[in-house]
Amino acid sequence: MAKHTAFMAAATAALLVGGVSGLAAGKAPAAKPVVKHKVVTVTLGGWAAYAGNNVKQMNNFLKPFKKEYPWIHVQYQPVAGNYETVLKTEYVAGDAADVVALNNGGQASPFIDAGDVIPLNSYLAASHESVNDFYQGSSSLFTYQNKLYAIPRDQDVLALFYNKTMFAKAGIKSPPTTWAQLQTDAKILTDAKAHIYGIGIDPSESYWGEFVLQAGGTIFNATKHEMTLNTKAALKGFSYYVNLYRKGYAAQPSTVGATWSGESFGIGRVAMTIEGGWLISSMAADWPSIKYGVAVLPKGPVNNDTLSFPVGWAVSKTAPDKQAAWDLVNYMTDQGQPAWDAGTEALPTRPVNTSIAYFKNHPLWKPFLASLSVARAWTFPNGFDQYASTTLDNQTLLAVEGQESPAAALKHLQSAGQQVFQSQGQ
Amino acid sequence: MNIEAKSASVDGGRGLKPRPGRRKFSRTRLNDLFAGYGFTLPSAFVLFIFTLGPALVAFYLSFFSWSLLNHMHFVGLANFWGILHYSVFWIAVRNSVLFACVVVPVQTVIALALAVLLNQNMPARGFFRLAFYFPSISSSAVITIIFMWMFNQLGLVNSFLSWLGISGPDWLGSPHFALPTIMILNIWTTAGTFMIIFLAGLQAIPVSYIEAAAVDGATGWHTFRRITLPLLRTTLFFIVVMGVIGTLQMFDQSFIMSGGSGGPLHSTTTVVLLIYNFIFAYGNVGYGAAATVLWFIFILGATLATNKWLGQTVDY
Repeated sequence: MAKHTAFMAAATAALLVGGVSGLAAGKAPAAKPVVKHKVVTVTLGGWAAYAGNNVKQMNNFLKPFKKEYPWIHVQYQPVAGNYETVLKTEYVAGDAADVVALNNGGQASPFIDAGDVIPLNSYLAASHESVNDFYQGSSSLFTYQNKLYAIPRDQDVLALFYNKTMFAKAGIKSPPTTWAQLQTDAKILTDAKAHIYGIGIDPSESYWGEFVLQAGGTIFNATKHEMTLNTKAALKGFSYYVNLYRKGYAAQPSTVGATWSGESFGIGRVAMTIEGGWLISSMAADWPSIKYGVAVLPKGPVNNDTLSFPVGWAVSKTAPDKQAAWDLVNYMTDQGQPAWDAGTEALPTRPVNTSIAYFKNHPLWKPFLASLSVARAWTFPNGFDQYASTTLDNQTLLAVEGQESPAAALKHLQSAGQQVFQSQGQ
Repeated sequence: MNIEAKSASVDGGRGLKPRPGRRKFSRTRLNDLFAGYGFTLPSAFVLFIFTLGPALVAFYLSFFSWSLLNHMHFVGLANFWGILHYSVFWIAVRNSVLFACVVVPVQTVIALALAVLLNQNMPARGFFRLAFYFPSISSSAVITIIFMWMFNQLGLVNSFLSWLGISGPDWLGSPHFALPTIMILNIWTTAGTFMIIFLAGLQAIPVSYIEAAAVDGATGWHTFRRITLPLLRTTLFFIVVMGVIGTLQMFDQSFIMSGGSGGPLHSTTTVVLLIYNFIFAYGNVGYGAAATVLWFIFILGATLATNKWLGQTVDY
């Protein structure tokens, strides 16, 4: 029976595709043009993704989609300012966009937990795609209880930026590839009297989490129901990071008059920094005279895993036409992904898109692409907003400034996190 | 006055006792009433919708547990209990009170000194009045960002200090100096506004009093202490009350300087910033609302105390 229906569907599709060839370039889902579609409007939310004229560029990006789905009218409503805050109030008021962007760092989980966005597995399957088409480091962020709540549209990962001029002056030929080398190089490059430091890594967990991973530790257990900062591996990773500061080789941004480590690097106050690909466009725009290179992160005792910061498109529960909303999401994250990556200077979430022309023409992205397979999503479960935004930063700062030992800081972080889990259990 | 007297006399002519209730609703009076309320209606409407309404909702929400996204449920006084046992709330209270205790006296004294100075006949008086007032009319966000550049570790202030042979601190990055930096910023911006108000107060003091005192042989300080200052009492009251309320509600400068976190190490967390974070960042609306109610009571108390101290009218 099932076979028969499938055959019928395939036959119909074959007939129809012949009739409408030329409508869609290449990838027309089978039965689409059959029905005379009612014109629908899909609203598209998200923060300003492009620099400059955001709406115009977004409309340009969506032109091919409009050609392929002429009955879906997309209305782009970018949110300026504090995106998640605005999105929360929009869900309260019931006027959130049909398709919304969900961010990393624990910003997606409140919306997923509250059921404001719907699981997309069935839509994904209907479009003959699977979760395995994506890097695990990006899809895992939006996966809750084996359901995928947003399709990763792009990501960024941490890599090592190094100042070529400063390296040459210090006689260092190539960027460090191990923890030991990183520390030695940072020591050589430091000239504290001149306010020049070997490395700048923001005192924040989104910048030191990878050291824990590289030592074989994790922040949470696999199901994200327990803190795992009380392990020896976690302490090893965190201590290595803290020691770069305690030995005087690393500088906080504020120490060198910057607001973030990318800026410390840009103004030539630190010879290395660990940042995401976003620094590439900042360097070009703000500090074009600095000669720099990018390398994959130095290897720790166990691996050279890095953190990834994916963003996804999700469909709101309130969307009146979910299929149309899905068609838009699917276009943007599949056919549209190469154009999106090139336009926004972000990394692809599908391995298949790593070979696109844009990245071939921009070799600085090579180490980032090479890191994608070992990248793990930076995220927090629901309820960790305060923990992520203040508790982690405070303990990091205390450790980095030597007011607390790394072990004491991790102990505090472990118990504070466990408390959050316990309070949710009630 | 005139109209009321007239109507009373008409009633009196008929030998009736004037009844205040009737008098109140005489036609002219009614017209006045309509005109008065009519003209205040737009402002009153705005006040109710955007100020009193949300304030009442805050009271209501303080009894509920709500993350903005989930279903709210009634929890009684649990939010108040929770917030009073939450250490960061007390850090925020301490920061806010400390901020008010330093900023209000200093900015009042500076504003008064500037006003007295610029009330003299001196050259380029207009220029200086404008110069001192200018920070007050500029955007607080822009000024905060300029201050962040000036006060950064390798910025203008520390360059100046090192020229004097002093090694300047990390103003914004150190928990000890972050709040004082905001204090300096706040004093600098607000002193100008209050200077203008003091100037208005000073110019309302009749010159004849000052001249009489001079004839009696009073020195400049005596005149200031015995005549100017007492006659400025109402102005002073206004400025202290506005200063106390304004400083206890400080939010924007902390928010921008710390990037919203109130750091480093909660040193710039003010009560209002904490309230904002509770509601919009931490998904704990009930705590934020409960803190709002507690802080409302505190500010009300502070204002009443100021009123008791400075609010009496001056008798001469």
